[in-house]
Amino acid sequence: MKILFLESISGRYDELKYASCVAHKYAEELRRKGHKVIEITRPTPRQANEAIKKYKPDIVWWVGHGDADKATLEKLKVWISTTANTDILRDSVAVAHACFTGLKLGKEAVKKGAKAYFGYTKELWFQWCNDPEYYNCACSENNPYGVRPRLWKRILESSHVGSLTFIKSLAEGKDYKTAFEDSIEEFERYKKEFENTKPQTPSEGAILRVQIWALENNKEAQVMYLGTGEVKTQISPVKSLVVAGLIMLPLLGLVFLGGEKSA
Amino acid sequence: MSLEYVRRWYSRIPELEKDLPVLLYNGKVYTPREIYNEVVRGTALGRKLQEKLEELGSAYSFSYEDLRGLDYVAKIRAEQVIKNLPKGFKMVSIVNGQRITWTPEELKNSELFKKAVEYEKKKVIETLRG
Repeated sequence: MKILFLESISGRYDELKYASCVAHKYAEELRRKGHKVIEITRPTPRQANEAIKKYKPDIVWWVGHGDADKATLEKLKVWISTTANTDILRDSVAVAHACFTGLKLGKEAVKKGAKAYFGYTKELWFQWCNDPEYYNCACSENNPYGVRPRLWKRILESSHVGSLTFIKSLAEGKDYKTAFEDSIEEFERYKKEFENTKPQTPSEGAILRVQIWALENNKEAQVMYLGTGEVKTQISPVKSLVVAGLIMLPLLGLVFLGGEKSA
Repeated sequence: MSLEYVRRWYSRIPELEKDLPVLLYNGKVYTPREIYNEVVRGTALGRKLQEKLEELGSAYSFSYEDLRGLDYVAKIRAEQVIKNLPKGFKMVSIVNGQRITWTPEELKNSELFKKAVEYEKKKVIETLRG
């Protein structure tokens, strides 16, 4: 399989480096497994287009700031929008690590011939440290918050694993739906790990908790479009009932909460 | 009511949950650790907290008042987490043309915070049920 990673570093600051560092790790792993992997750092729109034309990748992953109708690359340069350049993704699986592009851009890309489009319908959240003293915080275990180094690295990685796990699963030969489900599972694994971590300080506990919130959000924001329609995170039956119950609240005053009770 | 009930309940709670409020009683919120300590010490407050815990923990339906209590506890939990974040902490969202970095105070006005309160409510119910 041929996979192209467009690894932007800077948006307004060096915030995109956080996702690109994790992508680089996945790229190396995929390369070791025999896939043809191309990585372009700090891509301009032109470089991105040229690389796609040259290598004809099966999968294109990128990180950039996004909106419902557009996605950017390095330094906020608009690369594709619902009205321009979406057909560059024709015959590829597009994996956009960018907020909101799952609302409109993804549908348009599939209409224009992308085999599938993985994106987000909401904001995508992650932690960072904008501190000169921790210049390489995005790619190292250093952090200014006193979080244990290895744990910090896990926290940083976890916000970005969804889209990358999706690619890894496709590269293993799984179908789109299974790969999408794997990406959701990966969030759950990290959440469970953080929930069961005993924090050493109250601030480490708070950072873990905020990260769980971010993962919960990012997981639910994921969406995938195929020629056949939309695939979205499934809301668990327990949660659906709570939501339904709350809507009924003013009328009934009582809410039924489903799910099995532990012994 | 038995001490064993609370011991078993407490032993099943993940570490990260033990110091987050889970129960509202007489206008004050209590964490699992506080509830456990009161019950083990055999105080009058401990007996009341255990009573409330057993009532909510076994409930499949909640009164309007209980639900408001759960909402309140969930919000307090989320606020406590934010209060404990270290100095200089920031979150990022990669949205084009809008705010991208958020301080803890600013987070309280974000979509993430609304999501957080919803999540905490779910965790409160799970924790009460043990």
